[in-house]
Amino acid sequence: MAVAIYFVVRDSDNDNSTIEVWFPETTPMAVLIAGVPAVAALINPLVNGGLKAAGFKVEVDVSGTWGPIAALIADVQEKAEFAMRTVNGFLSRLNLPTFDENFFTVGTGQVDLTDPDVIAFIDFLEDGITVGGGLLAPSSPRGSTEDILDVERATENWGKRRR
Amino acid sequence: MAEKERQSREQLMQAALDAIPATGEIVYTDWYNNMVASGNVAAISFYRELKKRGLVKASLTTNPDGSISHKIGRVK
Repeated sequence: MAVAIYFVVRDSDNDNSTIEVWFPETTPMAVLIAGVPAVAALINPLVNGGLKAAGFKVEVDVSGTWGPIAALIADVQEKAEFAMRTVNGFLSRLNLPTFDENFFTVGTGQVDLTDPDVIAFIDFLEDGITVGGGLLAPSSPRGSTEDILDVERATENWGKRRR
Repeated sequence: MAEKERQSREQLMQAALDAIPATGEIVYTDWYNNMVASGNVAAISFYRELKKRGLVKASLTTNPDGSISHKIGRVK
């Protein structure tokens, strides 16, 4: 398991490419957060691209519970979009690609909001999950000021595929 | 007709709430299966309404084996 600081760089054609710099997983989070602009200052003089996004990520091995083999019917374009309202009224969206169409209510483009697996995911989005001695509660990309209050709707969403 | 529909909705919502213990929690899947077994399938869809009204809360935790415990309970 390791941690990467990443930079998504765009060129003049608006194509993106991601730079990843890896660090030991024992690196404190505060150091990583401060490290992103520091590493950016080191890379920026060397490249012509613009910076689309920067941050850090931790890779964790969960292959014991979710393996790499896709079902034959899996399609990354088949998505369900969960539209969520934050505490200050902002809308945040989360897409699940290769969504199992059995979770759509028959004849509609709506996710079945009574299914136990669907409800478990929605309750996680709204209330978080207690894990590792703390509460992991999703927010919008705006961060800690925008806790997810309510999942307003979950609908079928055909989307792009990226390789 | 609108009043009858409203009463029907409230009855279904009450049936959904009554199937949740007055104290403690119940595993969501157990509540779901109980509703199906008792012929109250229509009331299952009112779980989210109960949450929005602040009558029910959910709690998710991880079990030692990595599985997820998903329970619901009444709000005091």
